[in-house]
Amino acid sequence: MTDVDTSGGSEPLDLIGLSLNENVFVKLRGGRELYGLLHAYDIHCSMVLGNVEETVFEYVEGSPKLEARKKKSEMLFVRGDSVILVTSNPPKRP
Amino acid sequence: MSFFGIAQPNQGNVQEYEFDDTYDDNLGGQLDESGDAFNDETFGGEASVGRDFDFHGETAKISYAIDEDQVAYERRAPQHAQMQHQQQQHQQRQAPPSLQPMASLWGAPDQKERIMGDEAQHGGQQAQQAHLQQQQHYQHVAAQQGGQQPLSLEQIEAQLMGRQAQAQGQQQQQHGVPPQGHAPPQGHFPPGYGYQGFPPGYPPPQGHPMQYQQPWQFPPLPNHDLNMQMMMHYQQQQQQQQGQGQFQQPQFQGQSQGQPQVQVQQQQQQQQQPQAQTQGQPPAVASQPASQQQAAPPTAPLGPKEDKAIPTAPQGFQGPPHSGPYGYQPGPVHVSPNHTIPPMDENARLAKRNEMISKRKPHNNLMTGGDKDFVLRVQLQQMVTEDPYNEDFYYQVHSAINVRSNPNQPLDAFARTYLYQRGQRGRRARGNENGLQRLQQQVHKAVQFVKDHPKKDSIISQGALGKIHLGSNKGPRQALDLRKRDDTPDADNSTEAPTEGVSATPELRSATPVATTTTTTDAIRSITTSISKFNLQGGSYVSANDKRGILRAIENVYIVLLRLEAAERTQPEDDLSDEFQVWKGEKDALVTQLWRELQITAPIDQADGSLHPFIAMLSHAKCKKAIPRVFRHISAEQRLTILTMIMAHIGDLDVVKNGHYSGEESNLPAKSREAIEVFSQTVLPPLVQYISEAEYGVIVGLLELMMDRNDTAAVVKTKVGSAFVTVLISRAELINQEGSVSAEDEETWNRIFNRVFGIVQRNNLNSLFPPRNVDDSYVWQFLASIALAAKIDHQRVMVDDVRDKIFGTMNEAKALPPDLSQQKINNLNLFLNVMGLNATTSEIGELQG
Repeated sequence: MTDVDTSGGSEPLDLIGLSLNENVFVKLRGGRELYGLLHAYDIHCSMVLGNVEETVFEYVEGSPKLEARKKKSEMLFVRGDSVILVTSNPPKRP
Repeated sequence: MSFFGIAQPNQGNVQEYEFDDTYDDNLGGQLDESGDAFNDETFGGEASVGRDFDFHGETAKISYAIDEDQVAYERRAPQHAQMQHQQQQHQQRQAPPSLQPMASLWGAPDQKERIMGDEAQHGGQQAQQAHLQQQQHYQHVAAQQGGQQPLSLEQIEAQLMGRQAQAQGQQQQQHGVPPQGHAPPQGHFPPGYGYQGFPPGYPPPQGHPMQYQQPWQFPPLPNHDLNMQMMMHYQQQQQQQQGQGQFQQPQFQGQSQGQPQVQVQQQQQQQQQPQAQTQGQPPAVASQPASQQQAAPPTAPLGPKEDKAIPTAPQGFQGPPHSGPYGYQPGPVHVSPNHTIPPMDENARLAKRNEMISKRKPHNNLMTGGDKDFVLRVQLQQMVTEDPYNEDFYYQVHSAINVRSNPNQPLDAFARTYLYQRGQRGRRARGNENGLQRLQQQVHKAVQFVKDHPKKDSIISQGALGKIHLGSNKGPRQALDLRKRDDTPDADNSTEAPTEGVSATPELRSATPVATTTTTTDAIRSITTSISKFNLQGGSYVSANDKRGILRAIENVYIVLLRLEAAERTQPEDDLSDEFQVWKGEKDALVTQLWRELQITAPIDQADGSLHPFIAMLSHAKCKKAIPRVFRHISAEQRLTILTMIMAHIGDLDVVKNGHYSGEESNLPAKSREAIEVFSQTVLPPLVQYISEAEYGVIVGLLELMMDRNDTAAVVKTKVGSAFVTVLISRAELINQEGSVSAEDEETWNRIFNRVFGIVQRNNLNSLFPPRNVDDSYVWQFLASIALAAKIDHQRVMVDDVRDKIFGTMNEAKALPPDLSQQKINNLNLFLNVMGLNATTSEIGELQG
């Protein structure tokens, strides 16, 4: 391919297309993060994720850090309007 | 007594106040009283106010339509409820003219006087009509004739007296009325409610005239005297509580004489009336505020028409009911025993059943069959497509899976379901068997319609500044209008041609290896070298380090793959037609393109030492999954090229690289295990299939290539690596046993195999085994294939090496439940049987038979 320099796509959403059938990290509004296999997406960034690990960050009174709660879902539909960020590399957390 | 809640001052005690006296400060004297002369001109005192504010009146004009709505809504209401509401409905029907507030209630004294005058004029006339007409009819007429003016008390008296005389004469008749004529609800509404025909929740304005009290609600029911009296009492209470004089006191011929307390109350209430109520007035006369009400003669004399009306009443009840406030009145509605025990005839049961159904499913029958058809047509129209595999892909897959998993489910289940229902509704009983046909016709029509009326994608309405963009389910409205640069693989062919000299003739690329592929070991070498040479000439490929580029390449593979598969479905039937040639040309171009997108032709050794792009692509699960689909389209030579590439780089495959068990861990990471699983299920089968049909030379060449380029010892320690070697050796041995191998080839093979065996044996056969809890069948298979090819002394060495493992396995099997144990033994025997041995959980012996 000649135009790999152009980040492999002409439209921003094509970047998400590259991650189809790959694990993606999705940051959502409301202090939620998802990590799972991207099955499908649309122009609104609505996504269907499989084998998802969802992390919910909550503020707990008196705690210096946010409490992270995790839960697993086999399949998840994410409405696009809550999506902040989609990446294939999950950030490393201590 | 009170009127409108305001204590009525005794007439005699009225004090006269001077305006100034009411203020202590005499400020009133300081008011500037001059300059008021033109107030009217200034503020438009004389101007007509208009009737814009008259919401109630406006509503009244259309109240008939409202009624109709409610009637329609209530149609499913229980029948007995309908009975209750029936009279209500009558009132509603007649209500429109009456809903206007009477000016006289509020009006200035002069208005009142005028009204009184009118009443005097009309009085006699009305009284006469009362004799002649059914009560409600009479009232209606009276309302029209008298305008909205109330009757005077004298007038009412006159009417009543006259009617009383008449009614007495008719009493016999009334008693002869059939039982249902005394249908319960009629007599049981307090008159004060009888008229509340306002829309639900609309409180009757105080002082509103009660013109439409229906006299037939109170037929003389001698056997109901007790009920009636109770009711009367209740009514009185109600009226007192309301503090309104707006009621009509029903009186009954049979019972009114014995109700002095009613009289007293009435008279008290009427103290405010200008016309003094005469004590000792005949009890039959309804005493009522003349200023508010038109008399509805309470004596309920049933005229000839009434006789007719009452028997028909039950039927009338089934008519459209009206949900007035009655439904919610806690009043004495249900006092009558007649009412609580309705005749349980067929109708009632039916009504009860309908009620149950409508309660449970309140939206039943909301849509007519035509409505449903219409909706279905709209939906079909949206769904219709000529290329269902592309535009309705998920449904196609879903239904394919459904059919597979449930073969009993007929394909046209949906059609059947839908059409069966229609058949039941049955306009014409055409039978259900051709229902599918009809649906197809419908779909066909819908398709035709869509074709005939292509949807515009935007509307420009006249005078508007912009366009309105329309969307459909296939082409959603665009939120962003980005300049679409066509970089689909198709376009690449043309755009890249100048820069990529070789790729402009992609056929060459696949052709080159084909041309040099022979069935000898040299063939493999020539493939690799030709690939390398070929690629040195130029052409750009994705670097394995460019992760995004690799992903992009996979996407392109899929795009081409989908097109290829779509092309397959549109294959013309006639192989000789021009159409077929065109199609074939297109398909071949697509295959060529697919080949290029696979990056397989990139130099076998990357200049910067990075991974081969194809191998890098294969590390993604989705590319692994694409391989079987790719294999369906490519030629045997191309398959060999892929196999060669994989064998050359087998050590770099993610499944091999990450397939080693490190000493401490009892199993591989989940990710690696999953990758190996996917690889075994997707990539291996087509390759194994190819190998199992490959020529001797190819097998030998591949093995040699693998050993030349990879660390064989490491490769065979992994599941995938050992699987490849197993298959290759098995195939070679199979050809050997067929015996059609030249001596030269056999010598080559022996050389290669000895090399393999040497490598494997040097590294201790025991190190091939995975940790204890992992399925080790693939190792036994590998050992079996080697043993198969090995000489007898080689076999002895192998058995010596794995002796501990063999007995260990047997001991393990002893401790396991039978089925698991049998499995272990079977794996073990894969290896032992090759050497003519057989193992059980306890001993090893000669293989029987």
